[in-house]
Amino acid sequence: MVGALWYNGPMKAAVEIAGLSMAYGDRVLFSGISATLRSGTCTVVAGPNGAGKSTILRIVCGLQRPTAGAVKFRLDDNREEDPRNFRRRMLGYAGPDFSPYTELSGVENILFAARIRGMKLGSPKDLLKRVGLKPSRMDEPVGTYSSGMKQRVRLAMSILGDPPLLVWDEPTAMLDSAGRCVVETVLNDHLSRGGTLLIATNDAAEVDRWAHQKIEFARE
Amino acid sequence: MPRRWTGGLIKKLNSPGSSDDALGDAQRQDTNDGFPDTVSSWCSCAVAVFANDIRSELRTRYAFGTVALFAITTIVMVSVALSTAAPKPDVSAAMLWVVLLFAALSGLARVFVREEEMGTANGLRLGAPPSAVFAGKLLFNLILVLAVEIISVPLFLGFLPVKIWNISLFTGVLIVGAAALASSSTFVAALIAQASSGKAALFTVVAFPVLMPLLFLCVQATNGALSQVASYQARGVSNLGMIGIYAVVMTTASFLLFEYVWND
Amino acid sequence: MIKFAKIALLVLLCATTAAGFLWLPPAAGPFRNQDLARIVVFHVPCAIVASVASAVASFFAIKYLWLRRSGDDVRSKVSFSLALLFWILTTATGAMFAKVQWGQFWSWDIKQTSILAMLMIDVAYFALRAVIDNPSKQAAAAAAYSIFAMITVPLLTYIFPNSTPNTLHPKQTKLDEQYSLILWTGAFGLTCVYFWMYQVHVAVEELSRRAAALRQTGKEPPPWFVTEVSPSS
Repeated sequence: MVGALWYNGPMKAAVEIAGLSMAYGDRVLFSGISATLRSGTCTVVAGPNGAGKSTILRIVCGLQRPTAGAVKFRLDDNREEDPRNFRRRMLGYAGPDFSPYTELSGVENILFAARIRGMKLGSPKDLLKRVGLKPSRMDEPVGTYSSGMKQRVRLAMSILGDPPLLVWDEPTAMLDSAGRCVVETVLNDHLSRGGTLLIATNDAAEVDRWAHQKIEFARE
Repeated sequence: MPRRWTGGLIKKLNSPGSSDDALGDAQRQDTNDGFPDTVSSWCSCAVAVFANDIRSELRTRYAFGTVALFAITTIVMVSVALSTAAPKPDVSAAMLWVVLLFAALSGLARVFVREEEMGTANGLRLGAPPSAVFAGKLLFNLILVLAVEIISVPLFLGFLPVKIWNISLFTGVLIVGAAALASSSTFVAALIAQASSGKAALFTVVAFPVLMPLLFLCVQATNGALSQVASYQARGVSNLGMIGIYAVVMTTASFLLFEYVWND
Repeated sequence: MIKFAKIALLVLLCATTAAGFLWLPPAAGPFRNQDLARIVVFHVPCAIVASVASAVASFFAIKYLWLRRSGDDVRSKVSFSLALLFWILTTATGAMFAKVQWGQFWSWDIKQTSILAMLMIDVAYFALRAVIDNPSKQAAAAAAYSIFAMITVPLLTYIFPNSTPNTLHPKQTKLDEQYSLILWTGAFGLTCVYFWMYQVHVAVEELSRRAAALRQTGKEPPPWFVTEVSPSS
């Protein structure tokens, strides 16, 4: 049983990626990637290191500008939403290039993330409990956390407000088996409510277990 | 019925509010299409960014500490060097502003550089409107510059033989000059934060050409405040007006340009 | 046709320079060295060209931020480097005259100060470009900085002179016909030189980017596939 949604809006979101290309100066990373992420599905980007998995995720999140191509977001599978509005309120991102503030506690990080999005958060501790963070550590600075605990905080920040689209870059990195269970639980939960997932991972077992659709870079 | 924002900054951020839902997920905000995009939400976002920086600062004492020490050391250095010289008001005014500029420049880049280096900048990029981020950082830098001035100016007045003939002009220049300094420097800090190395040294180099007119005006205006000559004071007042123009123009330009630099 | 124009330009510039040294009479007016005062026909064209180059660079900077085309970034960068060259020439010719006329190379005249500001902006622009590695971030930051910094220049040249009424640069001068002729011909010629250099540099820069791309074609990006599967959980 999960909590109520914070916005009175639709839960289903689909993402259309069309002709996405990325080139750094002259080195072409990938070109012409097109796919549709339908609501209620999990799309996994797989491939060797350096192929550009994280880059695709960052482009979808708006953290990086592609050399060519576009990303469109649709609500209820037909109404197109302004990307900036969607990314701010309906997208949750967890990845290695995004860290919580080390001098703030886990709770304070969650509250800050809610505050900048204009959300009023009832109980951040419950959100952290959902990702399996030990209650005794929730009020201590994130700088004292282990890397696994930091990853849990990242995941908690990504599911803040139950966004319809979750974008996760290596979600089980640095997590123990209990952490991986948490990831699976949240993932299945999200999918069962019609949410959409975009995940990048190196782990072949995870790809098999989770993916409804694979964007795969072939090995060279 | 939409919930209203309550006031309070750090208190609110520290204490969880009431909860309707047992599992405590975020509450419903507004009843239109669900996305409150009002001026008040922009303001509270900017205030949240500002309060966050202040709170980090109070815990680590990084920026205020180094900047204050730098300012104190430099003023003592300058005073020792000038101790036998009995400088005239124009030299003292120049020294004051050079010290203020260097002290401020040593700490003004922190707001953006630290976010990029600690990996927290993307959180702001994802969740907050860029102009609100800039507003919050600008406010923090303004407080920083004012704090440096509060520490430096009394020391300066104590060590060097200056007499303030026009106190309102003197304080006016300090306040408006602080605003102008903060706005230009915050924008340049956003630029320099994208660099991969050598940020601290480069910040001064890149910021100074923009601050050159400001330095010139502030020194001349302060000189007017420190001198008895009426025409110098009048010129100082007109300089103060121009500092104000500079502050307004640079702040507007920074807000307009920031988004192009912040988002890739 | 172009070749003829280039040769004509060369002849024009040689003629203008020669005329400036040989034909132009010594300047009438309160000059310490009336022969040296003729440097104005070199100083002013350099300043004009440098201003044009800076304006072109700012235009392309704005265009880049708007459309994000790398060609605009190349043009902005090239124009800035040429502007730097011509501002240095302007300062040098001005300083030579200043030393003789007013006794010191630099007097903090408002025009001198604003040119110094331009020089520093230009140098800082390239310093900023040098430290940012990511090409799109480098271009965006450089373009934004150039626009931001350029705003201070009109502030310096037009608004601030009201605060310092005594300026060394003459506000209104009447130029004799001969001076006008040489000066404006020189300005025209030098502007043509600027555009020529600009085009060459832009072409070189774009060719070098394309050459680097050609060098990379051996390595194609790995193919990608989108497949529908069903999860095994």
